[in-house]
Amino acid sequence: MKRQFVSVLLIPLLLGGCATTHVFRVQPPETVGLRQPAKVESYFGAVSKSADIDCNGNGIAEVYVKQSFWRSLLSTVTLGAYQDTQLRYLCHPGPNDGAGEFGEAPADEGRAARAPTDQGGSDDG
Amino acid sequence: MTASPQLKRVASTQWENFHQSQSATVQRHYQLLPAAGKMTANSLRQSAELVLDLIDEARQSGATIRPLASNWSFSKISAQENCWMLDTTWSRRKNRLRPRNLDPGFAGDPDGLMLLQCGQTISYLNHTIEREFGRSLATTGASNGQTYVGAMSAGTHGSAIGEGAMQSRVVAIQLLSVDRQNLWLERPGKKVLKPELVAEFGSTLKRDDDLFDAALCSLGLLGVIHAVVVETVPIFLLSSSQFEHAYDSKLRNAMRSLDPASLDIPGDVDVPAGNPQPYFFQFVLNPHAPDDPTRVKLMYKLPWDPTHTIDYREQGKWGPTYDLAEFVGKLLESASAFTPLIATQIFKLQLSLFRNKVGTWGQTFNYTTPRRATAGAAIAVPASRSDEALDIFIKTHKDHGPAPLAFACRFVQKTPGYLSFTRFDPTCVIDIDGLAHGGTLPMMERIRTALDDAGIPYAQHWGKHHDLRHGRLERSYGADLAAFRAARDRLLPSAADKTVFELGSPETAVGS
Repeated sequence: MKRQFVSVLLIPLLLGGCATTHVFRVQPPETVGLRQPAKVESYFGAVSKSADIDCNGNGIAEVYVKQSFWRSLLSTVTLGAYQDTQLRYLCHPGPNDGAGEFGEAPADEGRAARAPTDQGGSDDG
Repeated sequence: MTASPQLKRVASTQWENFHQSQSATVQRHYQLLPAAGKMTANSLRQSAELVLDLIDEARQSGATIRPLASNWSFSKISAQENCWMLDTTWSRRKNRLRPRNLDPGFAGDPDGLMLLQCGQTISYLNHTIEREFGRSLATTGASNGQTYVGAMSAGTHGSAIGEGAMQSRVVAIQLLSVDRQNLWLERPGKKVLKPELVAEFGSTLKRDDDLFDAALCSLGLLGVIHAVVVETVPIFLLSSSQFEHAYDSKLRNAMRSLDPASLDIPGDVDVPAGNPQPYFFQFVLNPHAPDDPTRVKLMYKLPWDPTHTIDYREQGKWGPTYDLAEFVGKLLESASAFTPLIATQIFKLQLSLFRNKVGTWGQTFNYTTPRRATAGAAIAVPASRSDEALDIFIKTHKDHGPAPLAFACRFVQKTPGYLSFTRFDPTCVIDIDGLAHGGTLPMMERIRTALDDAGIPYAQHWGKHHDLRHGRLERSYGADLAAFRAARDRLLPSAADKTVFELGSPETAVGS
């Protein structure tokens, strides 16, 4: 009976064990830098330490949340008292602020090009 | 973002590439951050000074700097153990060059030049030039997440049959190296910037074909490429279709001649009147069923239509999860009898048939979701011998497989640059794409060995899985490898200088 109970307990752990959930912004799917590690810890569901994320002032573009068998087991044996979540994130590069130019335009030069559609402007990221 | 560029050292020292096929622990990790606002000659010079300071420090410490771009390469080209990693991807400013910026001897299209900082991505560049300037890139790889500088430094190519790889559209390079060398490289026969502007960048103008050809595809072995000038072309549209076609004499002829107009093109594919020659041609063959039809993709160039809406939005959609490739790969290692069945299903799912999709270059070659546990190699062969080479690929897989992979053929013109792997005139690149299964990498090696045995000349994509041992590097590049090394000696005369920009084995052989 005891063995059956343990087996039943282990099945969801194993099935859910090692998947990675990938969350990313649909538009625009732009990232910058390396996937950085971060960790979220929670005690008794009451006290938690949030992830420390540094994107140089920009937002996050993609998050990968990694489940692991051992973390699930740790959470189970502590009856949920301790949970930690490992994640990795990629930063958003910030707005695509179009293109600049070098130097002052002479009076007879101007900006020769026109936008091919009326959408114009820069992508706002 | 501050008023001046910054070199920021960050704590994380664990590196892994975008596709998670390589990892390393680096000694130091720096981010090159741009100044707030638009790029000016002064901010470009200040940013270069920061990199030169870092190079000085590395030289004194005996350290190796690896410039990091978008990290898309499958191979360990971006970082190596204990290096100082310089993440350039934050510095993604770009300026449009105007006639007042150009040398009086400039002979090209003065509306078409963009100066890109090292971190500028294909995606952002597409968005800006297509929507603001009515311009287009002439070629890229199939995705848009790479930086232009990173892609050219690894020899990234597409399948635009009249174009070379991406570096063929680069006309000027700002290269930073030891002894505070801040060089602005151009070809003597293709002057671009006026010397006064080059001086404002703090650069020394060198119009030198030898250094230019070395720097076009340099793997970070010469220094840090801090900026480039890229030629764009007037905006156009592509009409794309994917259809089935037997691997028969017509396809073989199209491979050898780069003339796919004579294929059996389905009647519902819109072929532009008066311009039947496609701009883009590739096909994918399933080696598990080589007698089944291949999937041919043709793209026709259409004139720009002012009513066309440029919309880059991706739609959320169902698809394989991030880990599925790893799971299936492991499964097939244990049950290889299922490999042909599973691989054939993946082939069909990934290569759906479609007709006449119209979009700009940036709409057509857009975002690719990273897939862990996938593998890719790309082998360039002379197009004139491409069907002979593909037959060897198929036979090797038949004799030693199965492995969960497929073969894709793409076609490009010979590309300038001593180390450009698309070096044949013209070139067929045969991709080996598949799952990171226990049999995939050995299969790639068996194919390379079979090509060696058959005496077919070939070269390997620097950014994909490759193996350059056994003298293959010398066989692939011949005198061009010697020319690259000689150019490197000019820039980095001593062994200590070379250490600053070194690559780990087996690529070390490139520089030595």
